[in-house]
Amino acid sequence: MVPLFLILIPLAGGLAGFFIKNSNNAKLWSLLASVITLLVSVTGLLLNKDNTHLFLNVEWLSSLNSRFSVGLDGMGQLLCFLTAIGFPVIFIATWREDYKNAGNFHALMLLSQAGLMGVFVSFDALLFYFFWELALIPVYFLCSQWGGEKRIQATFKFFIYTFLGSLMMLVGIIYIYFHTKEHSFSLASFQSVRAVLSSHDQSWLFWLFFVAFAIKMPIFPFHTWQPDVYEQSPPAATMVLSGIMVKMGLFGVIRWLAPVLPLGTWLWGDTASALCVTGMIYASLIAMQQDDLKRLVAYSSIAHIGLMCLAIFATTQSGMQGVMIQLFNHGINIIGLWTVVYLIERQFHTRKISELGGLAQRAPVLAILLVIVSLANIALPLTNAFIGEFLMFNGIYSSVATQYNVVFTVAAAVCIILSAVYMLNMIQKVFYGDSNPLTSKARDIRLNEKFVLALIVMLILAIGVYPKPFFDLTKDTVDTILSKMNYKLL
Amino acid sequence: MEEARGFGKILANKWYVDEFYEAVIVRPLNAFSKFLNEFIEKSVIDGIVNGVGRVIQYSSRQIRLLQSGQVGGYVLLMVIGIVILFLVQLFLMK
Repeated sequence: MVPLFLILIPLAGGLAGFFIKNSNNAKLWSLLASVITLLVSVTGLLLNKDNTHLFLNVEWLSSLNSRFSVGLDGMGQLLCFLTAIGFPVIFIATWREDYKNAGNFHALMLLSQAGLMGVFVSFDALLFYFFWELALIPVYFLCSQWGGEKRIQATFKFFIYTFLGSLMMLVGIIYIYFHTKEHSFSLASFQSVRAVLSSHDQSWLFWLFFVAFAIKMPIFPFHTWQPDVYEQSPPAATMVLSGIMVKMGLFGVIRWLAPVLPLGTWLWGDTASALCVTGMIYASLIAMQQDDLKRLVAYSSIAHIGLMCLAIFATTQSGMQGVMIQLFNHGINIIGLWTVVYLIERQFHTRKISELGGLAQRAPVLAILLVIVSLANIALPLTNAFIGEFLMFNGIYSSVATQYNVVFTVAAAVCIILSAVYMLNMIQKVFYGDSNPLTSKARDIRLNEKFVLALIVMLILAIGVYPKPFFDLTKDTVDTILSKMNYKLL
Repeated sequence: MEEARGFGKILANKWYVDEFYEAVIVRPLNAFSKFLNEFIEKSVIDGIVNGVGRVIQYSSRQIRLLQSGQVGGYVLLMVIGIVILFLVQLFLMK
């Protein structure tokens, strides 16, 4: 019942939210709904992993043999927890933001949460596709209604991009569906279809799925929608998009691509990895040139996601374990970074690094919290990202799925150095140095903002020091997926 | 203070290590990243993405003209189509 509640609470909360006119009530209502969702998710985490309440499998579209099959395995638990904790954090961080038609805004936010939860719990390909689109559509409206000046252009691009990818995936899903023995959409049937599909079939099906997921992550060269959309979206939507929604792409590769088409994944693994590595270096170098804080964070995110995708294709125990924990870490860290960017923009009405400076003297708390979040983004030891990235590097280096493992490791390590370059440069220019007339009147952050950033910093340090609970949670999923990805067992 | 000379000048400038790094790593990297940002990202990659959109809009504007509403035109197109199908059948599919 837990996965069902995880979908139903935000869904019902969102639908009810459309009828709330008062801005404060809308905020309270959405916070309440998201906190209840968080409690349900925590309950799920406390249950034993074989508990029947974690799974639900009932009749849905029986003529198509598609079932409403949802469940929480380790990876599902982890990502649902990220989604569940992400939304209240985002609501509190942007509490002082006033939206016109606040009811609709918060309703759409909750609907996208429902879609995200659905994606992470689906064990049925058609259901997965259904929720994949459900998560996308509210975000489209959030960006196009409440975004910045060029929002229509940016969201149109975003929609065409992601929708094109989704349709390719749908074609792939239908093709596989007709090749399953019992004509079923279930994950189990999809994972046994490898026996029927030739290597030629797997090879072109791989691209149908991979492009859909690569657009979402995004992987070079499918990334150009991302900086534009992050720049133009309202802050809360940007946090959802980059903190949680990009995980859909990685999740898709781990659950619906690599174990379903292992031969295709093996055949094209080097090509996909090369794209990831190229994108990492490319995005890091471009991030160095950005003067706009939002675009800097956007390109930095492209680089870090590239590393995670690379580690998936490495097909190693430690690499996959690193990806799992990094899925969560990246979500937390980037929500923290966006919160800081949002607070700066709200106070000074600018995001230009060149117009800021000397903030640390006026806003010491903000400065300390930002420095910790930024160091986590660089993956310094004692922060959560170090755990994830170290494991991923270890996995990529020891990979036997590719013969270019050393090249990939070295290239990926260069990105860590580059990320230190642009992050430290940003901290120096925004927070240190002399203050100018604009920043000399700065005030420190308010209580709600302190709470959110302190919570994020605590998570960063806690996972950085003691990541074991997360490893225990995802260990089974990692083993299952690696055994399914092993093409030699064919 | 007296101006350092000869070897002293090299020491005063800490073996020119910073200058060396500046010239060999920092500047080329900055120039390269500027090139990526201003040319590759904006013109090449975004150009391809937006170009696809522009080609589709352009071709749909042209194809729209075929729907003139004049039945004679449609009949003509139909006859041409039949002839093409006939020729394909005759020469290509034996």
